[in-house]
Amino acid sequence: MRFYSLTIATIALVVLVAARAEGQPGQAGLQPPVLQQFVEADYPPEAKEKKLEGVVILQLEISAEGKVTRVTVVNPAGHGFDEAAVEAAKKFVFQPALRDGKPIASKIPFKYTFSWKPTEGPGDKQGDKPVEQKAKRAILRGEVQIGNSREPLQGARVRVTPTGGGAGVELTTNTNGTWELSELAPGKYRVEVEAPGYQSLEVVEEVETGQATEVIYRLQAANQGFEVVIKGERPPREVTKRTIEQRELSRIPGTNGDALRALQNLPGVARPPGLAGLLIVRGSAPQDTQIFVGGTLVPLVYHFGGLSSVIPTEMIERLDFYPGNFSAQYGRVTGGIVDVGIRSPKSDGKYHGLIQADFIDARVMAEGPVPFLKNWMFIGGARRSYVDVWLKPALEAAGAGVTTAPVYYDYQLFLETRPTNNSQVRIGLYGSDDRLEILIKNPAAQDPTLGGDLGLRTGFWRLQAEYKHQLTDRLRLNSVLAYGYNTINFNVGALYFKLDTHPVTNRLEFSYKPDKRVTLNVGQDILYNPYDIDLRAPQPPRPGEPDSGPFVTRPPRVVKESGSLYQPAAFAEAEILPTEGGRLVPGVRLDYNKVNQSWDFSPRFNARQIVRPQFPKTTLKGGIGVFQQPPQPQETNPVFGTPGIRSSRSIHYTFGTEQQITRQVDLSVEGFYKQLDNLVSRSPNINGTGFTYSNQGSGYVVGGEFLLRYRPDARFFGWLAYTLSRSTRRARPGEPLNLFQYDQTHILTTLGSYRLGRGWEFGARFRVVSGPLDTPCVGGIYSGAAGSYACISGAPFSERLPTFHQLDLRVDKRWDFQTWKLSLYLDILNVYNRGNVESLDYNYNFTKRIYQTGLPIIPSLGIRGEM
Amino acid sequence: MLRRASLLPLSFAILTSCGNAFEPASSIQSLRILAVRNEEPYTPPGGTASLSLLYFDGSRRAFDAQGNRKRKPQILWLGGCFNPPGDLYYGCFPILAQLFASRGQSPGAPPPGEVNPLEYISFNETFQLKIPKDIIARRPPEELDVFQTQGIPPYGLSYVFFAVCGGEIRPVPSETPSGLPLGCFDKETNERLGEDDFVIGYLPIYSFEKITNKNPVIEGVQFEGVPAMNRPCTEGCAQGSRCGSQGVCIPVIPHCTERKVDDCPTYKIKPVLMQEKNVEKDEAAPPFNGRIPDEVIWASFYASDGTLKNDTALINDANKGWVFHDAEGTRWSAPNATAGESRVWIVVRDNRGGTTWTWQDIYVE
Repeated sequence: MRFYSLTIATIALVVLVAARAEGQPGQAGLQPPVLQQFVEADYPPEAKEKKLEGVVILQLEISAEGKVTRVTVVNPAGHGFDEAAVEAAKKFVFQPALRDGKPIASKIPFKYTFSWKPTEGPGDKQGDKPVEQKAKRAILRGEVQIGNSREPLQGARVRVTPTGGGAGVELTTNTNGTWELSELAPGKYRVEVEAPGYQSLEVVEEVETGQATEVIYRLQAANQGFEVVIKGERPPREVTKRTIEQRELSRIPGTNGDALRALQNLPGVARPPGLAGLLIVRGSAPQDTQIFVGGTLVPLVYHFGGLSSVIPTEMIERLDFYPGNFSAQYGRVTGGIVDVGIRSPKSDGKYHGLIQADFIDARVMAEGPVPFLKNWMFIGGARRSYVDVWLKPALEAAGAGVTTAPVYYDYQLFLETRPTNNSQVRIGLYGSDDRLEILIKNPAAQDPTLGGDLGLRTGFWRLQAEYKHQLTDRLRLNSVLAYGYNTINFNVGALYFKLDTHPVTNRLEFSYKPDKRVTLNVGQDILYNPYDIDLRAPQPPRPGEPDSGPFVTRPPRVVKESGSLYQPAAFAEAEILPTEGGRLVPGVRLDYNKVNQSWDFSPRFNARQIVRPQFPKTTLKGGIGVFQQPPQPQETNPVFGTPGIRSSRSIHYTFGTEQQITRQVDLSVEGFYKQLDNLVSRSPNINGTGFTYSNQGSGYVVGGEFLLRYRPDARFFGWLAYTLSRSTRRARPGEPLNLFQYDQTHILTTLGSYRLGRGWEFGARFRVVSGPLDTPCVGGIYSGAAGSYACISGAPFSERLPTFHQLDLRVDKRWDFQTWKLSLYLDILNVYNRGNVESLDYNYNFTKRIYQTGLPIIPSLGIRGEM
Repeated sequence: MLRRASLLPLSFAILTSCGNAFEPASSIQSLRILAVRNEEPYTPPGGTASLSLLYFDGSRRAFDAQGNRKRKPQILWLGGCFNPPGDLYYGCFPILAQLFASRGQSPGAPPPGEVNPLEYISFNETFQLKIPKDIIARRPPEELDVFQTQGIPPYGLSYVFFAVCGGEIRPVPSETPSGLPLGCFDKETNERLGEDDFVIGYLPIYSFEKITNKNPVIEGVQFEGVPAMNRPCTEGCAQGSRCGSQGVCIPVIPHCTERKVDDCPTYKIKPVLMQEKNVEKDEAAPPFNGRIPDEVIWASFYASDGTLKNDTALINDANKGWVFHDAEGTRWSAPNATAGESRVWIVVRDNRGGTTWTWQDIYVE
């Protein structure tokens, strides 16, 4: 007779009936009970005989001491399963549920699954009884810790599954980060450990009869799940690493839940002027920072006026932000890098969806398995604004003839599969389009040529393929190949600018780990960018140059050409772990620029050392590196610029420390210095049109960044960020050093969000920032051709406008239904209607002026459904 | 590659440029230059640019206590700047400062009709500038190569500067790189006069070998939809009009009695222009979307009294063409006190240096 050994099937701790701390704002402060001792049920003889399996849903009542006081069968399975499950469940031991840290009684649903599995063993012939087998069972207990800090990680899910098949057991770590299974059959088990925001871990453990096996797992904080890396290079190459959870990204007041707009609240990122969706990083110009989506360069990240970003927050897996000293895998800029990682579709075999709408736009998102394609999953979304609905009548009332009212849309579709256990393929198509076209019948008196037919269109799309493969235990391959289209089309009156490009990019990296303390990364980073440009416009003054008068008075330059940019690069980097908690990352990068046929060599070095691994942890970090940026295309264009000029260069120095203050509160302090030289500057030609560009500019940026952060817990998250910096430029040797256009001395941002309970959440953000710099007009000169005045400029960027300060509030209310969730939010920008000064506005001859203020109080009400 | 972000603020600036807290540019409350006209806007190499000014002295200093005009502004013309560095007007300043200083620190007002020995300086009401024959050839060869590359005809560029002063013009040290080193001083008190009594301006003059441009042609003015100021007083003025100071009949309207300007009745004033007489192709521009763009034409309005609804009106767009068929021009409302004869100037310009003007006088009871 064959013996039917009993394997404990899936035990899923689903949700606490009363509440669950995670995911239910209404029960903030409440922690569910944690199973500490599991007892295996006897397989019912009848079921065993008939080789039946069953699932019993129980309701457990647990006392404040953690004992099971009552077991109720909610969904019976019959055949003796119900009685066996009840009997076993009565012997479970829990760590009790906690409310505000105090143990309380609770009720939870519990799924007890019986899976039949034949085994070969003594029992087959001898007919051992379960009670006898129990005596031979083993214990597996463990602790889950956070990376190298060795701090306990509470709430991690531990799933233990027999390697030979059958369902597993799932537990949650308690406040000490520990867990235990005391009634295991001897043998090998696959242990999977997962925690939001950490790299999941999968190991095989073997337990022996009558012995307790103790294990410690350390999870590395990583770019997984719903946690998003916001600052610092991705591990393990980082100088600095900070993480912000998805909950934070979607709840920061004043951002409408937009992850990329949340970037602007971090230290080192300046407040962008007015309606401009710009990223100003550590005193650099916006064009000094590059933005990638899944490793592919994209030309823009925000729609019109920074209202929203082109990738929805829910599709973002991670957001790597490198304000400086970034890895050698990135180049061609001297400012910062933003790399938006798209997450994988959910792999539970179900379809999920989201619909969201507010006053600005509406969007949908869906994900799930691809029909008729086995093992393929998809995630896709689309968004369209309806600014045109209310802006078109407003513009027409102002006298403009509107052909195309301002409108934007974006779309994303990613397909993903795993051809093997060690490889992943993802194909994506995404893009964005913003456009407007109006007829201005009453042009501005200041510059009448800026009237008439006004059109603006910006857009891009990318088709990209990602391939990741763990070739061997030591060798990994990552590759991203993309083809796309960018367009900028702007015309006003007789002036126009049209640029179409078809970039091909490839990023390929091999990571080889010859030793457990050494990893070598080598790769290529190729940009090939054919372009067609058609332009008729005057040369605009560069920042700081005197106003050259109304457009009508200036000679237009004309460019109509096709060509290509070719900028291949190779990089190599080593990650060395010389000591416990230490990391050295030397790297080099070699860039070639076809336009000026120049090579740029950029050595870099980053280091990090945990000087105190235990609580409160202390880490020191630093880096130095060379960063080079090719001249902008118009600067080397024969018509507008000077062929042959070289790349600008910046040397980044960073030193800082991270200090744990409490388990929830961290302080990060960093100092940075950027030496700038070979900057591109220009001067008018001695006789004739145009300008001569040269690499005579220089400057520096120096500053400090402070971040005091309360990490998210069940109720609250928040931080205080402060940046002190000074950014300067000198156009040519011998000329005075001036403050740079984007210099902002003080940037203080404090924000927080608190879960009030019953689905309500309240958040606030307050910012105080030094006012923007402006080049004042000290008078005007009459332009006979335009009939208006040109500004006579004072010293460049010599006037600091009044300090910016603003309070934003956000209120969320969420309802959870059985299969879907409904949310309402109200995001109020500029609550006390502060008239923050964005620029100076002058009268017709520049003899009087007033402050031009920014956005008034703007409430935004949104609704969202998820399933 | 231009970034989109740099275009957006420009777009929004254009969209939001109408309306602010200042007195509109169309309201003449000071000494103002309203237009400068070159009889041949694209003066060819070797040709002569004939320039004249339209200005009005509305400064309170221009009148005595009884309201009588007590001064005649001094006019200065400065030429002699050809192909300045970067084609920028302020690239001329070092040359002009030298030129002007050669007349002495206090040139004073020369007798009417005097032609300065230095041909590039004049204190007359009009000015003539001889364009060098080789103004295009003076450009460096590499610049001319650029023109060829762009597919546009090469040009030469001359700048003429002018100033109108309610007192006497004297040289002063330049305070900024883009400011002309000239000052205006009260003849009696030597007080330096400000922007209400002193205006400096410049006019670029382009010279092509073959391309020419004509000034716009204004056929007349419609006041409230009917032709106005076309009947000499000698023929007798109709009801609702009277003889104006120019010897033609002008409309008579009551002054506004409303407390708010917005509540005052408005009167439509529109220049009469014929499309076929005005629209030219902008031949210096290469085709865009397969079409050579039109020149842009627009009208600017100024008023000695009262209020104008629009400072400018688009007449012809580079891409959309003539858009003035159904346009109303502007609307003017009378001042809220008896003003006597008021004037509304209409200056029509194109984007290639063409300028012409006319005006509408109205008697405000």
